[in-house]
Amino acid sequence: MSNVIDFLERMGADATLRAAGTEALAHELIASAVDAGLAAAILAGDDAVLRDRLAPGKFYGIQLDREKDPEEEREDDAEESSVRFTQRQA
Amino acid sequence: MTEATRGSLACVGVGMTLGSHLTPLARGHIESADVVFVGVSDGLVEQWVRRLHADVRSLQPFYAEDKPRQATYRDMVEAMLAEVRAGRRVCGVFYGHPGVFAQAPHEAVVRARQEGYAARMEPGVSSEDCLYADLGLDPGKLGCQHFEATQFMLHRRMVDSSAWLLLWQVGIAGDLSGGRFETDAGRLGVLLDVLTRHYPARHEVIVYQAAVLPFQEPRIERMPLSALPAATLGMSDTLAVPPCRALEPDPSIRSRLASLAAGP
Repeated sequence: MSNVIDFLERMGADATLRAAGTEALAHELIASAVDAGLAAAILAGDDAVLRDRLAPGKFYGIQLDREKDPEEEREDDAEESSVRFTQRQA
Repeated sequence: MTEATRGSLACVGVGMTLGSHLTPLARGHIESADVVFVGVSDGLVEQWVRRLHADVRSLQPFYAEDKPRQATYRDMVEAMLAEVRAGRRVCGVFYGHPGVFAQAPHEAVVRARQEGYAARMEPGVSSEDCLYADLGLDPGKLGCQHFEATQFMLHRRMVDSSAWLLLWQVGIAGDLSGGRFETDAGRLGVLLDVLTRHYPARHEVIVYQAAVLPFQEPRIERMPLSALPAATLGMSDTLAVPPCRALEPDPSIRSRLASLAAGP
């Protein structure tokens, strides 16, 4: 795995490699000893194979919620208060 | 200064494309930290970050389906601050820019400072930056408006259709629960209705997603606005709406400025 991550890092930073044709890229992948199946996926532009093999599972990319308006905030506060009241009663 | 207050926090971005956008300063923060927390949207990028430091902890386990995202972000902040309070140099690594459409890094920096710790944020290459390059869009030319998609739907914003309109997080458009990670044709249909207040249904729009891996091309999918409900959208997609009308001159302002240019 380390080979392919190293290769992707090097490719990301190398303008020549990013613009290389399939033949040149295949040569670089062999020279970097990247696993043949992963190399084929890179040459085919198939990121799904790489993720399935190296980093399976769902990754979440949402890191922000919309700002709520004051009315919604009041509703949320009321709901939380109601839950707390119910929990205290229980 | 006591032992406990020597903790610090730096939130940095790794940019959008693996290996292409990491700044020397961001790399320096990662390498000099005692512990690194990583919140990126791609497993391969997380693997890459793990190779930059011996103690990298993923923030992904804080997410869960139907868990309110606000709770997820609070958990992320608490995880980072707990290590800061323990006197450690903490680096929070986020994809893109750590302060653009990212709640936890902002909150963590504010709270760390409130508690007396050194905390800073370093800019990264955001999806917005990539979009300008990939679409050949210069926001200085005609102007550019940015909105979070659901917030845009829920409020009557003043849309200037002579400028570009960018709707971020369109892949979760219409989520009122704060716990969904997808949208659907029904919600996108509502977004279509909002947008057709300002744009003709035949107006061409662009679904955009920056390249994450260096062998990938960005997603640049053009379609008529009316096709939006049928589009397949993911968490990383953005909707770019070009202007649909020309800039409207203001003759009176032009006249006043011309008078000033002519001198007394």
